[in-house]
Amino acid sequence: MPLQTSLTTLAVLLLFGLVPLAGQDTPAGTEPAPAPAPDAGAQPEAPEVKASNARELLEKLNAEAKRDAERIKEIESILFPYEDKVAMELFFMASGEYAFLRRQSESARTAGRFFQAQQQIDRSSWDGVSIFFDTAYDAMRSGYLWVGREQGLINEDVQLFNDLRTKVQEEMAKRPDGQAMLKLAQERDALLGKSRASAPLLKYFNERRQWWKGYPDYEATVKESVGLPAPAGGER
Amino acid sequence: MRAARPTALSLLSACAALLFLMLSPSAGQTPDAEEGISFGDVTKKFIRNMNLLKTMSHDAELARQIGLVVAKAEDLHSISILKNADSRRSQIMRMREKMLNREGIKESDQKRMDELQKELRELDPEGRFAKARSEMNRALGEFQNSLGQVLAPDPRSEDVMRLLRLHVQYYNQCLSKLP
Repeated sequence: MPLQTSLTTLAVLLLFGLVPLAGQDTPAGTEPAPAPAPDAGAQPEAPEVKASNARELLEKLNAEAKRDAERIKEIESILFPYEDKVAMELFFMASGEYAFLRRQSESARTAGRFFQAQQQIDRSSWDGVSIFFDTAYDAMRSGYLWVGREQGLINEDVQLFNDLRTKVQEEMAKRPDGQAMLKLAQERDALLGKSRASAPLLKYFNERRQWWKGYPDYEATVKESVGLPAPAGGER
Repeated sequence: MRAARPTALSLLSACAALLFLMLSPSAGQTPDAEEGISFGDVTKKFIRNMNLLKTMSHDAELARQIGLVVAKAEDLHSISILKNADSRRSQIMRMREKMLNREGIKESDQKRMDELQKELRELDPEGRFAKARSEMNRALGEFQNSLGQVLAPDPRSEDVMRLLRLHVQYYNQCLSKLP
């Protein structure tokens, strides 16, 4: 049964990866992924063309993700100090206080993953406890004090920060130089949304596909000679 | 021709002896790489985390109590790693787990476990480890009580208190697994 599920997942994932290559509809949730160049001559009857497109798409995605990450960093270096200044003036916060709240609230996803991993820890084994101690230590050292918290409390913190941020943005809109900052904030949100949307595709191509290739039934199921010949760089 | 026979026999018996050594459950008295995490490793991590929590606490009394627990854990740790006893303890625990997961108990496993337990007793005839362990249990019990008695915790220490409770609970589970 798990094998069956895995194979079904594999088939779905492969389909997911190949659909854009064939120049068809982009799967839901991956909307921002750049469509491959609409090449009329490449209506994919020839498998080599598909594979080459797959590589190109992956390279393009990787390059775009890298560019976006750099742009997000760049925006943050301008936007965050401004937001922090507004928050200090509005709420009489100490220097760095708003930045701290932001960091805690943006780590909510990390917290979610942590809680999930924690649930799977076998408390009755030394190995499990050792994993818990390590993950807790890393989180504490990084200043994430949500380790011992409930997910509900984390969500409350996130909500609290979002409310404060709304007020900060309202104030920014009133200021002449704040308008440009708001635009940067919107750009950052859009880029973050985009990177979240293309994350599954990148994860599949960059990590999971390699993993699946080691799976015993992979070669029997996936006709690589037809669909995915090995890239010139010697992927396999 | 006559001389070749004893040589062949001795070669055969040497091979058999080697094979026996390799297959014997007691092969390799030294801790092997497959042993994984031992109680000593867990204790070291517990001490490391508790020390970090101590620096994070805003309450001097709480910090003092954490210090007491850490001191007991350090005593227990130094005794538990004496003379390679820690790896034997781990082996016993793992064998117990294996035995619980199997329907029947292998005679050789039972024998090996008895041997390991005997070795442990010989290594620590005064029962220092057992004493340190019960002191650790007592210290943890007292600490848990005091954590539970804090009626109006300092909000700044709330997260630290939660983390402390979790650490104590998890470490208690480990102690209860000790052979």
